[in-house]
Amino acid sequence: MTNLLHTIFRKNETKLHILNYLFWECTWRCNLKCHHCGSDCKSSSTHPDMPFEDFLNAIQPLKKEYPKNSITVAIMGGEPLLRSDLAECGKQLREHGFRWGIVTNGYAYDEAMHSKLISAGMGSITVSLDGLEENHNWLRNNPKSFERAVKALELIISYPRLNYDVVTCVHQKNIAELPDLKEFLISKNIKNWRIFTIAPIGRAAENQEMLLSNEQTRQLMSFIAASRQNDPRINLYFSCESYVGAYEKKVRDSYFFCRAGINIGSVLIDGAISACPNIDRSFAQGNIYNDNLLETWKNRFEIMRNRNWCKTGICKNCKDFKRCNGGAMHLWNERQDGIMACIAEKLKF
Amino acid sequence: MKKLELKSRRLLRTIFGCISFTAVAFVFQACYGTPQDMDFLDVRITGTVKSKTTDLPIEGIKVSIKDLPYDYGLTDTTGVFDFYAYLPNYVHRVNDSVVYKPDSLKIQFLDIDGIENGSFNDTTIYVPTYRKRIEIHVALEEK
Repeated sequence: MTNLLHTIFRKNETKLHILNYLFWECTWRCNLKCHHCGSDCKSSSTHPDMPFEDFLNAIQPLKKEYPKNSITVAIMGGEPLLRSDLAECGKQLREHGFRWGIVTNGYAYDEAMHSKLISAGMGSITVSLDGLEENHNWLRNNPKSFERAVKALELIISYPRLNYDVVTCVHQKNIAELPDLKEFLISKNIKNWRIFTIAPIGRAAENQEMLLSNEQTRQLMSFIAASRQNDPRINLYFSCESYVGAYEKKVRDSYFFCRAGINIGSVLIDGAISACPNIDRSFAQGNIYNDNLLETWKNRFEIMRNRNWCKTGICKNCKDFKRCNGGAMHLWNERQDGIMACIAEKLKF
Repeated sequence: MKKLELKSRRLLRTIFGCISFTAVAFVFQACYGTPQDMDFLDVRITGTVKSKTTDLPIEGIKVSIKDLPYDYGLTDTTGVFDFYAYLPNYVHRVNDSVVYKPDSLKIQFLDIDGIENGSFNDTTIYVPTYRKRIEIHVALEEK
């Protein structure tokens, strides 16, 4: 019954396509060089940071269509903390009726930064922690990255206003230490922990030890499901990166629903208008330097709102297609000839 | 979308909003994004600081809330400050509505840049009642 309700709900949301969530890829600069980076960022980027005025001008038309405070702007990069005007950008977003938060590796998040951002009205933050010290530092390719991320988390949890979570990318080297990592997070009073697997995109596509085997994927799902059922100390959940077959509802609060292009849009570093920033750039639907963001949102994005084209490759005859609708958009490339990875498929073996 | 269809779909959305399972359906998170910010419990504090003696704006004054170490603003060259503060001791939720406690809020003005921009006495003022925005204009005495 709930499955049927969810299908009706998803169809309705798709038809209405109300924009609730807007990414802003404000920079490609980054202070780390992670092995798994989906953006393939560099310390000095070929793209200059997008001027805030350009982004602000682009989002003005949204104010006509959507109520004040109904859209959260998720600022990401690269590493958004490298922008010296980040707090000022955030403050202006609040002034214009947008909520905002950042996705960060936490490396540059110290007390001064914390104070600047919360005083500018930041309301949410996500920090990456990819294992205990050795593993995190290995993946993040920096010997200080764990210590810095943990310090950032200590500041964040001390401030109850912030909606936060810790995200962990699970790969072959850190899967065995998830129980220890969980105890570590609980000892730090972390309440929200989100887990990803690593998609074969960006740098991770060339690094096989990033990708979990079928057995490890099953082990991961069991770990999350057991923790959710038996351990109220921490809210652990699997990200919305994939439909997970029999584990649906056991590893997160709601059924899988890729909202890219349905409730989630983005403005990318070059002005491209798309959905989640990790989606293949060939799916961009316009550009803020040529197109009106609101009109583009309302009248384009058909490719994300009608996913019948995804019935190809392993999805072609999949009996679960009705439920997963072709999975997460970021797992499709411009050839549109088949999904790059399917966790539900992995769990069958 | 035709008007009637739009209305029906919005109605359907409201119905979904009323049944329990959709509490999680409307609060979602993009897979590589932050949680949505659904809280409205911070207060914007704005105003100006000037010198009582010269009537000129003062730069570099730290404006903060007593006992909150991270919520503060600094005055700029025009003496203006503008920041958000989360006031859990003063703001709380009752049945999903934000309630502002009729308590007195202490706002401090501290001269933290030494003799640069002049030297002024630290001052605390009390704000008896407020809503989502507090606007204060103060004049500080020179030391």
